[in-house]
Amino acid sequence: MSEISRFDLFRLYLRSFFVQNGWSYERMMALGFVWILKPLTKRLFSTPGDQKSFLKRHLSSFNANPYLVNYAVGAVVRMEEEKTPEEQIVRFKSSLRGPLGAIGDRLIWQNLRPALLILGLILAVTIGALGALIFWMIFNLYQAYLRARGIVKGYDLGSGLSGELTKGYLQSMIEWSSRLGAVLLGIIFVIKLGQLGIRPLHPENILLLPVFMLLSVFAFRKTINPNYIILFSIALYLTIKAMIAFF
Amino acid sequence: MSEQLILLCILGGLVALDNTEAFQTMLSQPLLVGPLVGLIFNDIYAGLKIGILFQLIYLWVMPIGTAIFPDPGIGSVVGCAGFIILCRLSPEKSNLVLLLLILFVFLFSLFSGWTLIKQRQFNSRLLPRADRYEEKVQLRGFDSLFLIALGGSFCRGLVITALGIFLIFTLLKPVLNLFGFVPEQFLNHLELPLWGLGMGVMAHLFGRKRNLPWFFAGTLLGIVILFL
Repeated sequence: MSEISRFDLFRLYLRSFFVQNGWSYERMMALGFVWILKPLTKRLFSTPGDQKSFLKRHLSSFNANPYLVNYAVGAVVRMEEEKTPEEQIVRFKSSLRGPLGAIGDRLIWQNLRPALLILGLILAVTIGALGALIFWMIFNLYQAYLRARGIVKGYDLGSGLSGELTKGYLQSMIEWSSRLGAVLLGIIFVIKLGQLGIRPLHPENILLLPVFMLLSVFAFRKTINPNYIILFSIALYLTIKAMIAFF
Repeated sequence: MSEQLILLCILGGLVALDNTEAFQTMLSQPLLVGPLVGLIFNDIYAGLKIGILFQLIYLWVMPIGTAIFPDPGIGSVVGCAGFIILCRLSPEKSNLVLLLLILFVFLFSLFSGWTLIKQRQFNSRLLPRADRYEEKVQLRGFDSLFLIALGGSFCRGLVITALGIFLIFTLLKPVLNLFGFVPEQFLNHLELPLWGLGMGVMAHLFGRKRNLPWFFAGTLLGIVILFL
């Protein structure tokens, strides 16, 4: 059977943007994962029996962060190409679920996306809709790079992928996006305080903005349902306004 | 108006796809949905203004693992459109419109999130078919499942958006008239608690001890930007 070329990896890369299609509670990303690998079925296996077992092992339950799933795709393709025993591939895929989920969630959902959203908000309140567009472009350039890096690294490293995940690039990206988020938080705090309380002068807003912010931090630390925090913040604000109007 | 409604529904469908099934480009973030809805109504500024506020409310939403979460993307399409439409009908009541829409989108996003669960349960029904295709090594069958799942998600977004616009016209317009007596000044600066909430989420995520020097560096930079 023929070798996997860079063009084949590119095809898988394009397909990987649909990895969450057909996501179900039963087998999670399985349908998306098998759809990504589908073009390789006949390239890698000549007999219907082998093709069937290839499809079967990738239709089993699998989940990962969608932006990092390509690490698994690349590594699995390499292992399939090298005709690694089936149980070893299944075990390897299963062992990737935890790290790819946890690292991806920390990198994308908890650090990078919020940090870039703050950047988008800062730009949106200062230069308008173009700011939102800049956020979108930066995020997508990075996600396109991250997915491409994942598939190439996964393929190059194969079953030796775990070192790449636990130290190095991804971990330092988590650290740096967290720092970026802190810097942008400082900037947006000052800008909004200025817009809401200083120009024009509303002394009560200068006091209230940090109060609401601290209340919200406190509630999130106490893991109170965010839906209640939203409702409570609005209700509290209306009560304060009513009291100010009354007195 | 009918063209705008069609465009809104298509946008709702695309947002639903982007949120979960395909690409995840963040098009479903209210910060982007707002200006896009504004573009449909030829008022990007109003769309951006309301999009920013919805973004602050839903900064905390993280689609981690199998978590059940509200769906602010479609909620924002409906909310931004509702804001622009209702503000055009009652321009003197823009603060009241904003308050009502925040509450409406809050509930609507929960409903939309519930439909996402239903859609994922529907996707489970595709699995036995996938097993049959695997059994027969019928590779084209996987393409049909792919299209069914993709189409289902798009249709969900489209239908939910249409429903949301319908609800705004049937429910919110009368409610707006009912609470018309509330003085607008009373609802001034409604964005303040939302900014407080949003910044609270940001501080919760980035407010670690080791990040303090970076936060103070940002604060200094902010002061410079503010007085430039």
